[in-house]
Amino acid sequence: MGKTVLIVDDSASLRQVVSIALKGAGYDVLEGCDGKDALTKLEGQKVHLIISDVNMPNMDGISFVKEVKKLPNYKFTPIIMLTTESQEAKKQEGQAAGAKAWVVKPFKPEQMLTAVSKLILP
Amino acid sequence: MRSKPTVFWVMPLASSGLGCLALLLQGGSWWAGTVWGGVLAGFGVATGWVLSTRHAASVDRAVDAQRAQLQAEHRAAYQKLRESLQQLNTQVVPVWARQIEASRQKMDEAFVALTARFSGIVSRLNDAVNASHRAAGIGTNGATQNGLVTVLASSEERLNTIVGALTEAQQDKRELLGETRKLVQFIDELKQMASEVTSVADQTNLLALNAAIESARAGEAGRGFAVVADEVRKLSTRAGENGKRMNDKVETINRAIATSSAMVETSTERDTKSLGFSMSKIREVLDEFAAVARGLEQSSGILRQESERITAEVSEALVQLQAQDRVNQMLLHIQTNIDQLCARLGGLNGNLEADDIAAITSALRSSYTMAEEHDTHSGHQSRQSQPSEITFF
Repeated sequence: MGKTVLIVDDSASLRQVVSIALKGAGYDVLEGCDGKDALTKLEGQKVHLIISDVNMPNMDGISFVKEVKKLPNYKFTPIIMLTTESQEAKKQEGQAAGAKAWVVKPFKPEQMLTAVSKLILP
Repeated sequence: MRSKPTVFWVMPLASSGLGCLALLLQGGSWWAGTVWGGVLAGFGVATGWVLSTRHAASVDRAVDAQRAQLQAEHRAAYQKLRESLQQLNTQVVPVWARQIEASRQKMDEAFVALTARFSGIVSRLNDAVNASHRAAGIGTNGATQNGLVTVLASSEERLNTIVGALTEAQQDKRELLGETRKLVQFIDELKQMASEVTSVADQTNLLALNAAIESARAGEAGRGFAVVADEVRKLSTRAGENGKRMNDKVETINRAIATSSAMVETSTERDTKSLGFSMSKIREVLDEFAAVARGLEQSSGILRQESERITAEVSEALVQLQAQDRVNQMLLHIQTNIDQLCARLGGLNGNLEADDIAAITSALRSSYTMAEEHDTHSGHQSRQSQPSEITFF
């Protein structure tokens, strides 16, 4: 059974770009267009890793990470932040919220795959 | 009140002083010159004062009129500017915002469609490469697996097994032929033995005939012996007949064995030729298949190399496709800032002070998330966006 990755980003094209890279490596992919939408996608699903944007409408990425960490089933699910945000303060916020890695866009697919394979739950 | 110009009292005073000096030089009395000089000076100063007062009043009136006109013009211009700003706020700026929003949406839709197409192309390409690898029996890692090359190798092995079995059968037939040839030798011996039997029978018959003759000469005494001689002659006749039949049978068997041996020999020769022909044809077919397989393997190798190059190109394209997200965010920041400008212009009823502009500029700067936005804002050459390293926490 393949591993499932949830991609959270308000940009549909960016979600597709990440999806192409992950599906090419054999991962199953779920998509959410913001933090709130992504929380509903987690219900009743087994997700092995989450890739989330930071700046999104409805619920931003940092708040989403905090909410995920409150869910018993996803407390230890690794989260990679994928953002254009280059400020150190934001990065520290992400780390404090519980993210495991910080990737500034644009990303190289092979780098992302390395990070995913390194962090994804067995 | 404007100060009166000095010229209106200095000039009359100077001219009266010069008049007094002229009177004194012409020999007039000192007192009369002084008095007339004083009168002229007083008259001149008074005249100057009156004139300067009138001039100052006229200048003040002109200045006041000019100021009033300028103030009126300024108020009119200010009102016009406010109206223009309001029009800009209500008519132009919202259009900018709508155009930017529409552009963002169109670009987003176009990129989503483009990325979806790209995703489809990548997926089909991967399927094609994998199918080709499967056909050539090459795994995704380049290792040989079940495929044409393996099937050919397996087929060759099985065909060689069949050829081996046929060769063994041919060998058995050769051995059979050898054994049959040995039978011919035994037949010759049998023929000789049958001839000997016939010969013995002939001699026995001759002996029996002699015995009969001798018994006849003996008369009555030889009667019993004549009976024995007759029986011996009959036996020798039968033995001779059996010898002939044996000889005939052996000859028949000999012919049958010779025919059979010839047939086996012919069959063996035919089988040898047939086997050689089959082996030759099998080799030809296998060689042709091997050539095809080598070509296919070579093609697959080229395809694998191309696949690796395409993967690298796809990777680069995926980096470039992320530009839309960055451009979208830049436009969103500008759009948000335009909305802030609109709100501020509306709230201040057209009054836009330097502090307001500074606040809007500051809000725009603080909304930036990318280094290139800061570069562009500062008027510096924008840094090329390069994929960055991943930070692990």
